[in-house]
Amino acid sequence: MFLDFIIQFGSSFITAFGFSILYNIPRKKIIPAGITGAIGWTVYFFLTAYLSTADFLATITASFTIAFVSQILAREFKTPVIIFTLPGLIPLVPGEAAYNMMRAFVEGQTVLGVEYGTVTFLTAGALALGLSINGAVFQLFSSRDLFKRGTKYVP
Amino acid sequence: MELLTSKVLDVCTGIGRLMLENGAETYRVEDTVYRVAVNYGMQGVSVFSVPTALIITVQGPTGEEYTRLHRITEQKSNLGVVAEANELSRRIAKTDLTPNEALLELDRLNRMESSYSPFEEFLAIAFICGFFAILFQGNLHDLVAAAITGSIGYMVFLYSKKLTNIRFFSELLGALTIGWAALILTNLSIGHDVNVIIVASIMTLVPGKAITNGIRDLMASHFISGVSVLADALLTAAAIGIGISTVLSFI
Repeated sequence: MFLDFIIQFGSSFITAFGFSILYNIPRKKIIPAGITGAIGWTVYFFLTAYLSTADFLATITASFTIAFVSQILAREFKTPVIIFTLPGLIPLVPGEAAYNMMRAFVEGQTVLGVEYGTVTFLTAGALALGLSINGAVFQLFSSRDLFKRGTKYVP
Repeated sequence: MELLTSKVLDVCTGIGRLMLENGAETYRVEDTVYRVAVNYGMQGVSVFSVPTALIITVQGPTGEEYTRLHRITEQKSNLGVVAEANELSRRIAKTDLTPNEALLELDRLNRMESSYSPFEEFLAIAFICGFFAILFQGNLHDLVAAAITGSIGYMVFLYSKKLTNIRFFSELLGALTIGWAALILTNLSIGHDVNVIIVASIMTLVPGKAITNGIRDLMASHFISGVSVLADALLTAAAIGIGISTVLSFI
């Protein structure tokens, strides 16, 4: 079981790390970006494989964790949060499901396609929801004068 | 048009264009451009942006309105530039950076090259595809095969994108290459499970980022950009799906 976690953590670290190179993130920040992705995926893996949580909830939790770690790192490195969240989300992103959906439609398996389509949009919705919840929570706690700041909210 | 207002609009569209071209979400772009304009003392600022255009209207000191429209044609993912543009807007807010100095700075950012060599990017792609095979429960054979097919497919995609400006076509070519390479490698028994190899190799082409960003745009009530980003993502997914299922229909 422990070895499992090491393998999953390492592999997701490398994928997030690789994507931060493809996205041209400054050199100093690619290792933290990789670690963000690895933490997110490991949370997802732990929830689905050992606690058998529903996929939707596990994805929300993982993306919340990613956003949380990214917020902390962004304050530490003084960069926009997107630098860490985008590569961090990569292992969780529903690209595979989107491809499977289109493939099923092309091959005439409409029902299977609809099934994959639902998975795609649910997963993407869960990712976006996790990020938004985190953004709202951070805004609540990081502002002393909450009511003076206006209501403009950017997730 | 007054000189100052014109310069401020130059800075605003410059920053907005830079961010949109390099893959920032539209709500972030609108927010940044709005802040920059307000910091230069413009009144009645409103900004609208979709992934392909940026419109900004401001009121000058004497009350006339000026509008600037900027069309965005390029699309890439360079988050380093997005971070720098963000930093620039922060500096405009904190210090008294004049519009002229900001324009000079924008000029430097425009000429900023990618900070990684093509070889490093190639290695990154090979590693991404290889280790995605592990995440999809593949074994070491799949890792090696996915690394090979993924990097070949991405190279074909990049090269054909330089030759044509139809992205659908280059994605289709990339997917076809990946399909064939995966089949050949499994027949040579370098790879083990053809499905794992294919799914892992297409991960660099697949529109996961676009789908998530589209939904985030929708949640931030930017409906037009959200829907258009999602349409773009569906088109990419269709190109990859068509390419792979064409190849798999031969076996």
